[in-house]
Amino acid sequence: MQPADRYTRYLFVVPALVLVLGTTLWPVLSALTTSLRDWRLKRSPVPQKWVGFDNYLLALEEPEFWNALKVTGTFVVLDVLLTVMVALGLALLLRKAGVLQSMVRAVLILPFAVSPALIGVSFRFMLNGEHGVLAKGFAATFPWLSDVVWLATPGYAMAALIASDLWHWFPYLTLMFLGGLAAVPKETEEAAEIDGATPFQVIRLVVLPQMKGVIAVATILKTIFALKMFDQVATLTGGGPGITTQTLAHYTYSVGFVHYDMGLASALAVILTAILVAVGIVYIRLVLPKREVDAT
Amino acid sequence: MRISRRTFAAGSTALGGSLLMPQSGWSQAAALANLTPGKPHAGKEVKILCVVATQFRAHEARAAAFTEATGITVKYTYVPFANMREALTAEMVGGTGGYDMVCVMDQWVPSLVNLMDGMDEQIKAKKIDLKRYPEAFLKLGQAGGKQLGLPTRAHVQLLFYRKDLFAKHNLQAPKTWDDVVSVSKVLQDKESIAGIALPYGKNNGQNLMVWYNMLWGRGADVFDASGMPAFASEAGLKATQDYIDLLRTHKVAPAAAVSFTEQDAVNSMRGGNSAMVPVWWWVRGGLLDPKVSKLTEDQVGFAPMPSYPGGKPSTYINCWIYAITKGSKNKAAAMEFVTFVTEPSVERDILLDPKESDVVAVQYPSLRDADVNKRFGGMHAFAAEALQNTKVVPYSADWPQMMEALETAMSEAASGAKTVPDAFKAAETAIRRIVRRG
Repeated sequence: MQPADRYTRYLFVVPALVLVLGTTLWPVLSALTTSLRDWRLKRSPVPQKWVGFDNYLLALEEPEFWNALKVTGTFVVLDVLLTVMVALGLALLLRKAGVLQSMVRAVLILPFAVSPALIGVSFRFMLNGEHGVLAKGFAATFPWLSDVVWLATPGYAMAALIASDLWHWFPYLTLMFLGGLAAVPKETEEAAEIDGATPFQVIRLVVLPQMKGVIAVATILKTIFALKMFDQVATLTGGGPGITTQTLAHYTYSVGFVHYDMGLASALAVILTAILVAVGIVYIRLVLPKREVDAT
Repeated sequence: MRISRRTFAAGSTALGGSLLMPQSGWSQAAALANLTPGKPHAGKEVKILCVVATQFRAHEARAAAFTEATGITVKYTYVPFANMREALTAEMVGGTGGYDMVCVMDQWVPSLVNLMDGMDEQIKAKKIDLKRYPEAFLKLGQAGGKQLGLPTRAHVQLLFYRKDLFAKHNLQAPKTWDDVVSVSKVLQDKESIAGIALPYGKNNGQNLMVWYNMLWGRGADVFDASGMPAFASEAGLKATQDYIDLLRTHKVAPAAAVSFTEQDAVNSMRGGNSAMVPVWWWVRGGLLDPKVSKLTEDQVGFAPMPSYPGGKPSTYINCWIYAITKGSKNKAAAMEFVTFVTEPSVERDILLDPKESDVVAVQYPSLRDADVNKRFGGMHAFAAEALQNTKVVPYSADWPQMMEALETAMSEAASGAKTVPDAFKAAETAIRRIVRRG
């Protein structure tokens, strides 16, 4: 390789590098610097004086911040657990070859193609106590649910939020798990069956241990997306009743675009980013073989 | 809203008189009269950022005459309501002058003060008579002692009710909140229909809009004279309890109303599930639209908002202004368009256009116009009278944050998560903290 070529190859990387840095690193750095400044839009359209970590301290003093953190934590744990379990169960049902299985696999991706905001609006309509198909359906099937106003009680509103996200995400995770199941050697299952294992034991003791990596990756990936939950909160529950479904992402939006406090909103965004980065590091360690992680 | 017998008489007279009057066409000459002669701004383009509303589409449709007279072209960009504040914020922060004019809702005016240029001098130069506007509408376009824009789209509240069902059971439109409860109970018993659809869910402060009237009716207010929260006073809590009781104690609102937005409440009435809905006057069109409503003109009546016995009815109002941006490079051309489009004859023409169904009017000449009142059943005469007495919420730059605390408290009280005193004392503490931080 000529010396000139050695440098030329870096030139080809520059456009992609600029694009990546401009769309990822710059906004993060911008949020980081804004989080250290006083910038309330009602006073000035540009950032004002440096205030150190005042915005972070203010965030920690706000009861709404702790509420949002608690709501986000509750949502993430329940949502991830349920989505992974449903997706895994469905993948196990669909792994056998058959016409019906193939058809279901084909249509499975459709919910994931729907915009999350639209899902929120649709669920809002479907859970409307007067004309919602889900509300009416539940009331007809389970009479003890006929008095439930789904979006007006904290527990049910959270359940609705989780259900809407579950509906959105389980197909994608199901397809991931189907990919993972395809890689499980058939011989191991057959050997267990010959040894007298029941189908349940085959899944629990043979298949699932070999799926550990895929399940871990899917769980982390889903956790990252669940931590950012915003769309359905905005369109389905509005964070209510009260602030019982207000996630950290929705609270951050509210501080920025309703309260017009860009400094505090940036501090909240940085906190959320820090949580996401921590989960992301775990994800990278799981996805990449150990040697590659160490090399990075 | 104060509707006296005299007002009813005036409305009726206007209605009767109008039957004898021929409907006049649009006076383009009047609309163009105040424009600067000689086309000094010919070739300029005025870009307008607007919320989606039939009225602004109607303005756009009338811009051709303006362009012909001035040589200035006009370009409207529409943004849905849900995204409008973000769009205005982006314009303010960008400060690029991408838009010469913006439509801004009253509650946002003080916090978007850095987006808009004061308009006092231009109003004076153009000899625009501000007396043609109700004082309340003008106030909502002011901040920092300046008139930041001119009212262009404003709403008053009315109680829409099922005229057919009320007639069937010999009921009168309720004048007081007690009447609302009693007529609702009759209708709920005899027609299996909820009495009144009210919004209690969180969505841009919609669950507060009827409550303000109850607050004022009980002699309380949102803030005291020093700008500190006053809604948690004894009278204020009583009024709030009244509003919550309609849902939780009297059960005259649908059970689902606990999470209703304003749109859900309107849907409830037009779907035949509720007999009354207190809401903005512009909703009339939607209640009668056969594409989305089961109701016909014969079934829907309207009345002033209910009040307390012996008290004056009131209406909470909502007002959008046309303002010129600070960053605009075409301010003079933009003011030409403001002058044209806010001219009373343009508003009147839209109100009387058979192709339009928007009831919205912001100027006394239209509100009191006989033909306009004939077309809309006297609705505008009621509004004109009410607007002379109405109160406004003194919005500050912190209002959106305060409103969020209030709507959260209302949602908590409606869902039963907190009692009214607990929820609203907590909101009071939160608002005091907002005021302290400044």
